[in-house]
Amino acid sequence: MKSWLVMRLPGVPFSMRLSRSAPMILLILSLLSLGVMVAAISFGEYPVPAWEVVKTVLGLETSNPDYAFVVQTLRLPRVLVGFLVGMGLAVSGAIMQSLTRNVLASPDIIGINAGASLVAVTIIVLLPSVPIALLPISAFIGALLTAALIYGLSRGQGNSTMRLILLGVGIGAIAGAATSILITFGNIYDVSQALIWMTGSVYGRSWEHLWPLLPWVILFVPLAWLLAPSLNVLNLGEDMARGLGNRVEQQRLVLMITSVALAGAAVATAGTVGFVGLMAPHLARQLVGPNHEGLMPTAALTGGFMVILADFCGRSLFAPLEIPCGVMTALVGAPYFLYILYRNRHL
Amino acid sequence: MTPSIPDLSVLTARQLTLAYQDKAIVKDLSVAIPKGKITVLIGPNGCGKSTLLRGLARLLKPQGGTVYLNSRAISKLSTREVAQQLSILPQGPTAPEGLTVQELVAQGRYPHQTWWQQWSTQDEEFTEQALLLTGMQELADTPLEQLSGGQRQRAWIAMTLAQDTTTLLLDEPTTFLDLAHQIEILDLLYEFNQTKASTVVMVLHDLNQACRYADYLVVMRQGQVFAQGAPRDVMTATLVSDVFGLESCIIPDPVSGTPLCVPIGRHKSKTSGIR
Repeated sequence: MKSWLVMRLPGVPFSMRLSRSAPMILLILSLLSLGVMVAAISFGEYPVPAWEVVKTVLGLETSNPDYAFVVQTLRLPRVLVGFLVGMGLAVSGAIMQSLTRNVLASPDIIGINAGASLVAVTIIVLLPSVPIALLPISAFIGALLTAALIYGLSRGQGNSTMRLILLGVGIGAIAGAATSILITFGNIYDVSQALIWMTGSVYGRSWEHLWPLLPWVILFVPLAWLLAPSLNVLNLGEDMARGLGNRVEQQRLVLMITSVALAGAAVATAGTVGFVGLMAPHLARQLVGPNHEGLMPTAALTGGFMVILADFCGRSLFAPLEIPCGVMTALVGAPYFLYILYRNRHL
Repeated sequence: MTPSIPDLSVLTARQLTLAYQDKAIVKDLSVAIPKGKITVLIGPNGCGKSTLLRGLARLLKPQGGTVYLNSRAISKLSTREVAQQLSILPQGPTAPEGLTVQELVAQGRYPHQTWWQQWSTQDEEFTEQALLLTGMQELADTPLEQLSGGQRQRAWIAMTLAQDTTTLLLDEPTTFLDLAHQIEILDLLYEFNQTKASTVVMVLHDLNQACRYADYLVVMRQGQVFAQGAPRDVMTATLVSDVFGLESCIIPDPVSGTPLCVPIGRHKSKTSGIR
């Protein structure tokens, strides 16, 4: 077939297809991401030449023994954390947009991130002794509770996705208000910790932030990709999906948990980096079309690229001042959101 | 009224009760859909014909009674098994933006795929064939939103054909189409029924199209089967009056010889008093 890349193994019952443009786009996105990563690691108060960055990361001998510390300890984990956070947010958004069949649905817009944030801030402010590795789990629980609440409230009276989104916006605002209350009354030291965390930043993220995040991404991003055929048919509507033999309730639950887990883990690590979950899947859809076999990896790479680019820009534009990457994504994301809203005003 | 031909029927409903949120739409209904024939469900708005179709296709869980697919209870079959034997095209389906005709049609292969076998040569053949049958080959790479209403409906029907089932259920496949495209769709379904000996069940609004294309007519009223049989036997002025509350003349269709219902109404009669 013309527009697909088909892979079949002779003699083995294995086959798959991908949009023809997907491999090239994935390659370009990977190269762009690598480029930004190298640039971000090389840039800073103590510059490291790009070539030395590559050599250091590959573990080769470098001309200056300080490079290893600057690259390995200070800058590499931050870039990797940013990339994983972006992947998580983007895949989470891609799932949610397809599940609700609404391009406006993403974990930040419908309040899931705010819920995750609330629980995480509660832990930081009220239980400061809790280790950092437990933050993703608590944020995940927050995200899950929020999702369940929104889902429960929007059920029953018709299944308008606009209703779901408005409910989500409302619940997000409530969670935001509750977070503010906590911050107002909390211990000043813990609050400043929470505030730094909340702005949506990968500032000072180290390996100890990367390790708790990594398993969530390794588990749930490939799972999202495996669920692509299911998302493809769910995207045709509930009746159609059921008619095609999809176990709609069960698949929807698995997909929702996947989406919420990724959003929760990302928020726990970097705070609320806004609009990535909205923009990345939307851009990816423009690049490779709505089929999820190609859309999932494309959205993941787009999201990762967006966050590291936003962080790099925030760090370099007004150096030595640093703008959190969450502010950068919001600067671009908010107008983009309005643009999508305008384009889909008939919904 | 319980039909006694279970062997010849592909889809049978026994004492079926279907409801939306405690509001029973179809009550204690029994019907047998004959194998290899075109069955058309007709009836006034709100009589439950679309609900019955959704119940027959296991999209709606019955509150009472059972649906049998090839004499096995449909609720006992896995939804995937059902999808390999029966396809359903709901009313006014929508596709995501940017989805091409070919990508849509390929989705019809879903019940035949596994996560390791996502695009077999068989999948490809059936997709090609469905595009060919519906005359959509040239538009294969066109996004759905760029098609006309008739073309889009053909694309959806192509998808259900790619599903390669022996039974095809369609809910008002001709709504929102102009007359020429309505006939085109019905001809397409007729050809499908003839060449593949497949069973087609559809809800139609137009009584005359129903009479022309149906082998078997199921007339519904208030959630019950009011009459069923060949259009020739079923379609009478009394029936139209009883079911639709409309006075009419039934004359032979000059093209097909099937019953043609000409409504009378309160005005515009050439000679008043024709009954």
